[in-house]
Amino acid sequence: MAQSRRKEYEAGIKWWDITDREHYMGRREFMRKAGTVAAGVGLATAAPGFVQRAFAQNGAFPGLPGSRYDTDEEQNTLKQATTYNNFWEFGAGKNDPARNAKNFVTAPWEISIGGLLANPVKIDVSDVIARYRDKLEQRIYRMRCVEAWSMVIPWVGFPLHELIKDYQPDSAAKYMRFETLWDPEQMRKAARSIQYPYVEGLRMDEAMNDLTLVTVGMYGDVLQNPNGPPIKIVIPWKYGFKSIKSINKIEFVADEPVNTWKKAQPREYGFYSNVNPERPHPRWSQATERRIGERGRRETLKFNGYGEWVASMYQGMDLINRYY
Amino acid sequence: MAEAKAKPKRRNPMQVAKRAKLVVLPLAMVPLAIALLRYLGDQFGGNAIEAFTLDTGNWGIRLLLVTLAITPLRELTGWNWLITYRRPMGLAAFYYVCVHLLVYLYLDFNFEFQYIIPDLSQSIYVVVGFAGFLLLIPLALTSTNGWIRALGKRWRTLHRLGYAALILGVVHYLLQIKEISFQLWFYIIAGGVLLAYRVVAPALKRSAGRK
Repeated sequence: MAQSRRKEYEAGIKWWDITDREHYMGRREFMRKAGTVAAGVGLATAAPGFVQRAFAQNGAFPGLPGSRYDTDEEQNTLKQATTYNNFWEFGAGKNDPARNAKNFVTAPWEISIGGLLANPVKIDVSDVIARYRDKLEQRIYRMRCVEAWSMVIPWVGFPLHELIKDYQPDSAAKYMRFETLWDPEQMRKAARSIQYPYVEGLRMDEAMNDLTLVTVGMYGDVLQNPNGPPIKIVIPWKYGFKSIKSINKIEFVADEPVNTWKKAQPREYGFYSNVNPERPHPRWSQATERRIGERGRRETLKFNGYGEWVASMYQGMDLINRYY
Repeated sequence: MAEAKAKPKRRNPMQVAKRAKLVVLPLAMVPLAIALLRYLGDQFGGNAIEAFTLDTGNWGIRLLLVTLAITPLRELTGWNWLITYRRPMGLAAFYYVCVHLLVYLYLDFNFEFQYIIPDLSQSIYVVVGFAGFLLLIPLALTSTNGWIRALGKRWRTLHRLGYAALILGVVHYLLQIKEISFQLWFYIIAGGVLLAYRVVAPALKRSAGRK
């Protein structure tokens, strides 16, 4: 199946032929603002090529190299990946982000990189992409939600350690802390039972792991509105809620950040949140999962099947009772 | 003349209701037909199995609420014909819960009991939902005229289990979610009102009787 889909893909039946891009992108708004930015910031030199390519008919990131971490399991469709989402800034229902994030404006998009480092900066996401363009890869990862469903999604991004090396945090920085944009104007339908802005964090060795991906695209194109554009982090061995969306703030910090779900329900959600079939959620089993689009269940794999690259980081830690 | 005219008028609602009764059960199954078409036609969104499960579970709770609302409504309005709809509504609720369970066992778990058993033991909401289903079985079995006659007064006592099943159904739902939806609030409030009526109405009747 995966093979036939790939053929279909190469034959030219592309999802962007059937997807209403203006629908997803809030295109006019994007173009207007992108124009303003291009005039304003140094984008004029680095990014016009990117902006054009982003709107080229064949996707923003064609022909990227694959990676050794790619799974050969059948990929979920773009439709599945963009119509069944948790993005609580746009509502608590799984269909809400597709509906409520239609006009989400994601350009210009400034990210502040600060905390324990010599030179805190504010940088537009288009400059980030331009800077790391040569490092971009396609990564076909499994995504396991804490709600016991999963998908296989081809992301586009570069390893977070590339960015960390460039920004040279102090040795006192033991963790990274990320925030999602909180814009009540654009996010009027946000779910009410968690606090905003949404916060996530990683221990520095987790952040440095080669699997941890700064993600700017999916299915060969930019991130779609329900999936946390224009920039997110994907951490494939952890439950989906760790893969924080629409990031506008990155900090290097000394102490373990209090992530949103841990804050909301500390008994149910922890900081680490590694995929672990041996530790049931207090209210439901994590032993199996439903792959979206499949009938029946799959067995959930420890560390979502990425143990050979990540298990050593947790040696000697009680992942059931303490560091869940 | 006047008497002849008035008589059929007074008997009309009950007669109409008795005839209409025959279409109530098929009508109540229409949402199931729609759900099936949506599932088979891939119109149920990204997670079709979950959507199908939720839809049938929701209809089970809604129809159980309707069933339990019939007696209070009848007492408050004096519309005795409402009673004719109670059995078909209750049976429809039971059928939805059966389909809901079947969707879980077949579409969700493909009857693979090596996965279903850990799910039962680790997911408390599954146990609560299953308990609600078990409670409905004797109610469906004793819904015939023969059983109603045979059980006499005990039939009414037995069928109060409908309230327990409703509570279990709502708790089953509540245990799975991260945020209470409008619909779930409606179930909680409507169920609460019906239960309160069951407690308050007899007390009022007793005090009225004393006067």
